[in-house]
Amino acid sequence: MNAKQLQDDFPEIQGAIYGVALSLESFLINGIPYGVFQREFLPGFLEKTAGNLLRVLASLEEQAQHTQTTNQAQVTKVLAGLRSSCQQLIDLVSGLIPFRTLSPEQLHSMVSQIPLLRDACVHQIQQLETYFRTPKPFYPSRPAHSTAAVNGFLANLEHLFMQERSAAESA
Amino acid sequence: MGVGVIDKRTGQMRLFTYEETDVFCKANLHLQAAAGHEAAAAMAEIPFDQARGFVLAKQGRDWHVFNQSHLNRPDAQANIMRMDGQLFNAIVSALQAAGVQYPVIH
Repeated sequence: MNAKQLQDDFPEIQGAIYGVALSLESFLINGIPYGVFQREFLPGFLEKTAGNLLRVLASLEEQAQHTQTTNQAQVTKVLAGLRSSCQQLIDLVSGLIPFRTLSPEQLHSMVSQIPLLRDACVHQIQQLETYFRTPKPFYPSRPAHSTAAVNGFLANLEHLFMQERSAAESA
Repeated sequence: MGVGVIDKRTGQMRLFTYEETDVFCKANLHLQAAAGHEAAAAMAEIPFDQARGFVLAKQGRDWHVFNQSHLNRPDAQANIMRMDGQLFNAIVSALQAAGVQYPVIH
């Protein structure tokens, strides 16, 4: 595949969108287990994954300004929504740092919002792919094993928090 | 943070820094592998279904080894992020043989 083909098959805006989608996954699948559960041993890791997400989001916003679309106003609106959803997700996960001291009700209330906010981000990313008519949308083309692993992680999130809490109590 | 993956078929282990996996992920977006264990498996050319993950961290003089990765789910442990205990023990032994003295296991 030559450079022209690669650019045609994988335009820059698609790369920028993939970057956000992958950083969002990384924030959840790495930031929560290692940045929240193991924070004592890996201080600052959650902040690193959150910073990565915000950086690639800024790159996407920049790239979007230079990419042709039929509906710039909608793109601007969706990008603002995506930034807001990502920031809410970061704030929510950061609020779980003291999860060992939260009541089960507080923990349930907070953790149950994570998949919902992630779904909002996914929906906004898919809207952007539609507006930019990217040739290979991220989520339908992601390897099935990765999708299953992330979905399994999110579906068991509350259980994982409870297990980590029990492990700390019995230690 | 050290990101470790093992190939269940061969027993071969690879270790990367998290930063290396992040750089790989961003340079190979078309692979759609997230930074961390997914990128590490791709870097080591291990199919995701054959890869299991662990994490290594150093705090002061202590090495901490975590049996924890979203890739470990197929091992169907009570905690879905843990790989099979026997496999993890073999990893810890190999790390010790490679110079990780007195690891703290998590």
